[in-house]
Amino acid sequence: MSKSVPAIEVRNVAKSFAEFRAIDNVSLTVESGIFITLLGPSGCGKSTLLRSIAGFLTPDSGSIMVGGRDVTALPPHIRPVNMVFQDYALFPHMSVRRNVGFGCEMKGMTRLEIEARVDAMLELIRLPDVGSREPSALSGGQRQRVALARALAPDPVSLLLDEPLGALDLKLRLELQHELKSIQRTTGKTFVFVTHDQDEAMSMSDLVAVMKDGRIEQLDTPRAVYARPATAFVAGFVGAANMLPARVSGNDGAVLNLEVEGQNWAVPADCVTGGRTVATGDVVTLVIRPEDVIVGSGPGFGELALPARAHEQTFLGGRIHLRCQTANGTALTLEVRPGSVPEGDGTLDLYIAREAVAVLVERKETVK
Amino acid sequence: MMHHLGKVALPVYFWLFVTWLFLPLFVMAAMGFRDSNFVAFPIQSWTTDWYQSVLDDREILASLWVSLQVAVLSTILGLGIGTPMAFMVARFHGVWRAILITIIVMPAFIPIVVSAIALRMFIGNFGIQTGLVAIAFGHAVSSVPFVVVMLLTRLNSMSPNLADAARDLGADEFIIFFRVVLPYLSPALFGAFMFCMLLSFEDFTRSFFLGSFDPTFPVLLFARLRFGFDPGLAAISTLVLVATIALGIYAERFTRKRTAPAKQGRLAASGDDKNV
Repeated sequence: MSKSVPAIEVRNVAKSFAEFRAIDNVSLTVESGIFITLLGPSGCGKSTLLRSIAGFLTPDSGSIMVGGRDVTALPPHIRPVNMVFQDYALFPHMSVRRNVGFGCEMKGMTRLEIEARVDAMLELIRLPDVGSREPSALSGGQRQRVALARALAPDPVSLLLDEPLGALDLKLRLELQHELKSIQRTTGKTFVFVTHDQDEAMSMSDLVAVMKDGRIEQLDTPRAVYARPATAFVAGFVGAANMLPARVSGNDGAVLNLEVEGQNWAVPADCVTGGRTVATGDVVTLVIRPEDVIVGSGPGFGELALPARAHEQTFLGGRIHLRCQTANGTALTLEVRPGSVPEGDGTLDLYIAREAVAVLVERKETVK
Repeated sequence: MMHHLGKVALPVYFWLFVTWLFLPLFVMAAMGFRDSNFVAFPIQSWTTDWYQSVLDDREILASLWVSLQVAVLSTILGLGIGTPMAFMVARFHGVWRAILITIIVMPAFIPIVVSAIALRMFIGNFGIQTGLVAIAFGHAVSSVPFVVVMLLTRLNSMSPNLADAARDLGADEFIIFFRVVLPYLSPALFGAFMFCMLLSFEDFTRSFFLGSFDPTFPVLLFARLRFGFDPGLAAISTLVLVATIALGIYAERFTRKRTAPAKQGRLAASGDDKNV
C-alpha cells in the first residue's frame, strides 16, 4: 500500500478568514483505501480543510494533491473527489435515479453506462427500489444513503464526508455508521470523514486526525489516540480522562521513574506519548481512563496504589460512574461494574496498571 | 362563558363574513340568467341568451384579446426584470438587503392613481404612444415587486449546498443554473407568472390612463356601465369570475405540489464549523 500514490496529500496548507486562522499550516497524507476522520470541536478547521480539498475554498498557501495530481488551482467541478453533505443536498426536483446519475452524466458517460452505474450504486446502498421516487418521499436515513450513492457513482479518487450523520437520530446514526464502514470496505474507496463526535470517529476510522485551532494535534489509529493521547486536549476530547500531575525522577530509556501523589512509580518508557522524550525533573501529566482504575484488594505487580474517598456514585445501568478524591485532593472519575464497589461514600483502594497510563508532555516543557 | 362565546359566536361571525363575501357574487351570477333587460329581483323567467350574446359580442372579444396581449407582455417584462433583481438581492445581507427590498417593493405601496398619472405624464413628455405597450409597461411596474419577493422567498429556502453539490459532481455554472437553480425556482416562477397575469388582467386604473382607442376588458366594462346595468354585464363578469377562480385554484395547487419537495434538506447544522 505504501508503494502506491497517496489518495490525498495536503502540504503546508493555510487558510484564514479575516483575522481568523482556520487552518494553520496543515500537512496530511492520506493513503489510498483508508477511512480517515478529521475530528475536532466547532471551529477547529476540519470542515475548512475538507472544503479546501473539495475545492470550495482556495488555500492562502500550500498545495493539495489528489491521486498524485496537483489540484490546488482547479475548481471543484474538475476535481476527482466527491462530497457528501450534512443536509444531503439532494436535488429536490430530480428522481433518485437522476440524482445518483448526475455525476456520471456530467462526466459524459453514455445513457447505458449511467443506467448500469446507477443500478450498481442503488444495489450497494441496499435501496434498489427507490429509483423512481423523489428525495422528499424518502426517510432521513434513506436520503443520506442516496447522497452517498450519488457521490460514489462518478468513481472519485476519494469521498469527502462533511458530518453526514449529524442530522440523524442516535439509533439511525449507529446503523449508518456500520453501513458506511461496510460500504467503504466493499468499495475500497478512500473516505475522508469530518465529525465532532468522537464515538463516530472511533467506531469507523482506520486513522483519526484530532484537530484544534487549525492544527492537527494527533494523527493515529483510534486505539492509539484513545490510549496514548499526545496532548491533554486530545485526551479530553476523545473520552473521559483523569489527569494526574507527576514529576520525572529518572529515565533510562526502558523504564521511566515517576513521582506521583507522593509515591514512586516505575512505568514503561514507551508510555510517553507524542514521540517526545523526558528527562529527570520534567513535569508531566499522567492520563488514566476511568475504566482503567481498578477497585481492588491488593496491588498487582507494578500497579500504583491510590487510597481515595468516594463521594458520588452515578448508576448508569451496566456501569457506575464513581467520583473520588485522592489523599492529595486530586479528583478521579472511575467507571466500574455495579456491585464491585460498596454503595455510599467510603474509602476505597484504587489501583492503576502501569501499562494503562499515558505520560503527556505539554509543548511548553519540551521547548527549552 | 368565553368558551360558549367561542363555540357559537365565532362560527356565526365567520359565516356572516362568508355570506357578505359571496352573496353579491351569487346574485350577479343569477342576474346573468334573467330574461329581462333590467337587473332586478325576483327572477321570473330564466334564459341563457345573455351568455350567448356575450360570446357573440365582438367588442368584448376584442377587449379580452387586448387584455390578454397586455397581460402576456407585462408578465414577460415583469419576470424579465424581476428575476435578475431577485438574484442580485439574494447576494446581499443585513441592512443593504433591507434597503434594496424597500426600494423594489415601493411601487406596490404607491397609490395606483398616482402612479398611473405619473406614468401618463412620463410617456407624454417622452412622446411615447399610449396603448397596448404603454399599458404593459405600466403593469410591469406594479408586478416587479411581487416577482422579486416571491422568487427571493424561494431562493432563501435553497440550501447553498445544493449548488455546491452540483459543482462538486462536475457541473459548471451554466449547468448549475439551468439544471439546479432554475428548476428549484420553477414553482415560484410559475406562481409569479400567474400573479402577474391576473394582476395585469384585473387592472383598471393604469389601463385607463395609459390606454388609447382599444380598451382592455375592465376599461370596456367601465364604459358599458355608463349606459346602465343589464344582465349582459352580469353574464360577462360571471364568466370572468369563474375563469379567474379556476386558474387561481389550479395555480395554487400546482405551486403547492411543486414546493413540497423543498422541505427536505434545510436541517439545522449541529455544532459544525461550516462557515469557518
